[in-house]
Amino acid sequence: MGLRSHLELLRRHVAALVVSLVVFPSLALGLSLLATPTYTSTAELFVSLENSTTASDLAQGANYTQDQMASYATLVTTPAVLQPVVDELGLTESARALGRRVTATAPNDTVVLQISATDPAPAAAARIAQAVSEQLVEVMADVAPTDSDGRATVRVTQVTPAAVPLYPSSPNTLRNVAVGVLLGLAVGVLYAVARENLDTRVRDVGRLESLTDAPLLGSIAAAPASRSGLVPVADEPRGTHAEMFRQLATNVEFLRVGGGSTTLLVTSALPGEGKSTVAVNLALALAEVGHRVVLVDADLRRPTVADRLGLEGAAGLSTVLLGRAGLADVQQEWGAHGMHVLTSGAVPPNPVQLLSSARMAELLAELGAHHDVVVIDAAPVLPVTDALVLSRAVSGVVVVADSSSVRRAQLAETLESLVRVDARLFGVVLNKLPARSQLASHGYGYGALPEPSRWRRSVDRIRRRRRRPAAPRTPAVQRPSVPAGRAAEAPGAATETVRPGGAARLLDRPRT
Amino acid sequence: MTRLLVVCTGNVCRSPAAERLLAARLPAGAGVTVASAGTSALVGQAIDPPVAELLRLAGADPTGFAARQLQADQVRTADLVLVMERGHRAAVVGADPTAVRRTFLLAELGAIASLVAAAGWPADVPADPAARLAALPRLAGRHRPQVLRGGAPDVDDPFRQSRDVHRRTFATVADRVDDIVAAVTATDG
Repeated sequence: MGLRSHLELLRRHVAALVVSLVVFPSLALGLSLLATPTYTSTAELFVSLENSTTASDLAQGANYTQDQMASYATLVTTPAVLQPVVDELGLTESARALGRRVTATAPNDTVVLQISATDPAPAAAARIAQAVSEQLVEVMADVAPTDSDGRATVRVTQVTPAAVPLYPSSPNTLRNVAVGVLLGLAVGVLYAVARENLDTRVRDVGRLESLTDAPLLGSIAAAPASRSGLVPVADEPRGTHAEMFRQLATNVEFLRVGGGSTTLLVTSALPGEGKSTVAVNLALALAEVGHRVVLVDADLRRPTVADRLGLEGAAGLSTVLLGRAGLADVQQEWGAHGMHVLTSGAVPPNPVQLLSSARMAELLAELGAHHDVVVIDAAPVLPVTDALVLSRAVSGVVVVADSSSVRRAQLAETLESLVRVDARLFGVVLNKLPARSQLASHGYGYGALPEPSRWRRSVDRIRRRRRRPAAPRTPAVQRPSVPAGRAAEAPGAATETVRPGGAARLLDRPRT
Repeated sequence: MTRLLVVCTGNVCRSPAAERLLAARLPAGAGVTVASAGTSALVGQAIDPPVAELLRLAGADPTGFAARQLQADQVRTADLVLVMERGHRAAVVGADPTAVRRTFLLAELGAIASLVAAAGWPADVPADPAARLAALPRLAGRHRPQVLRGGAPDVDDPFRQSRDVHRRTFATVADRVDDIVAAVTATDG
């Protein structure tokens, strides 16, 4: 994973990251504002040995004092020091309780004792710190060893009097908010990583790319449930959905290398990923631009093409394969552009046998002879072998992946199975993308396809061929893919900027 | 001569109604014959009395009828097969797969015929009902998307149901028959 994919990961979960970055610092700020502020005042004492006359005495004295500093610090919180302070200041708490608000520390290797007292009132904090340090001076004089003359050997001098603090020592709002930010960042990133690793679906173009080198032929947004029965290219020809299928058709047109007919097998890893929807609309979109197209429902397990188009499915592919009718008898016509449809026919008990028969190969040849494009809707790859069997008899395979349901491992397994049987993989159609991601993908989707594949090389070949005639064809640019009104406002180059079409963008990429 | 075959389940209610209404409303001597059959026919029975009464009220003749079981050769020789439900269509096509392009739901053919007439009958189709009916399977394809959008409902079985259900079903059948007759007899303006 490179930096780009890390950023990609964060971008996908940017909402969670933002929430986390708002919640934790706010929490820290809120708690800080609610907490009672307390003030700390510190007095400093210097400890030295008396009667040191020579330099070596002084050095020894300093060592001795340093060794004793911890004991002096402990002495501060004993009742011997604190009880007189309680009495003197008229405090209502016990010496032990006061001890919890008083601390004494000796910074390492120094003979300076720092005595701090905390209190909700700044003046009280200073008063206590001052009283404690004064009291310590007296107690030290009592407890320190005396020399032969009865003089105290240790002298304690106050060097810093306790001052009234201007700012509370607690809560430290700035520090708390900073901790909140760091915590928020950490939680946000952890959430994103966890989600990423727990969500094994394909989801978006970025994750498809990390899975396969196969080109992305099209991105289709999820259709609202209210439109599930529709055939967008025929029913809402001006809609954005229809436009997505036309974009797919445009990309498929670039796969039609050579003059002969092209046989496309449309399949998916699992049932319900939308392969039939893609097959039907792709076939219609291809017929719309003048190709002679036949759509064949070769999903002999769960055929849906007939129902979707309002045709009778009881006579069709299986009928022809069983020799009960000729192709011309059962091939039906659908739509204004003369698309032909060969429905499944009655569901047979032995689909694999039928689909791998010599009659099937003959039938495909016959279909190819009369059509420019043969679009075959085949059963999903993982549950049954039908599509794998057929894949060897076609020009190439288009795999439809439901971005919201198929697992990345399942899609990978599907693509591997196709490679194993030497099928030619034309590419993947990412289906049922959330509308938001569809928009987002315009920014990087097509332009970020993995480096040259077999498809890329054929695109280059087509480009070279199409350059020779006077007018090279760049369908994605010519066809305004924004609603007609907006396209009219921003004609020409602007149209291309609004939505970089797949094929056009590929052609724009520098040749390697 | 153009041969129409109407198919329902028992061949005593819906298909006889459509058969006799088509026969009554298509112009005399139009060169169209109409027959009917059932996928599970009550073979030999006359038209169900409530339907016969409605037919009489509509000016059609309900007499001299005997229900028949659907046979493959009837389908084979028919130029156009009209069915009431999708299940009938599957049965007809099952009997003869080559009939798939000539078999229509009654409601579907009504809508398609109207659309064809509205778009104007092609010049190569003679302007008589028989030729137009025979041309419909060939012309239907391009209008299917619109028919799909409108939805071509099944005409449900009224057999042994209330008089009200019978009346409603009969009205539906009569409307669709009228659509078809109007479309094939339309004079292009």
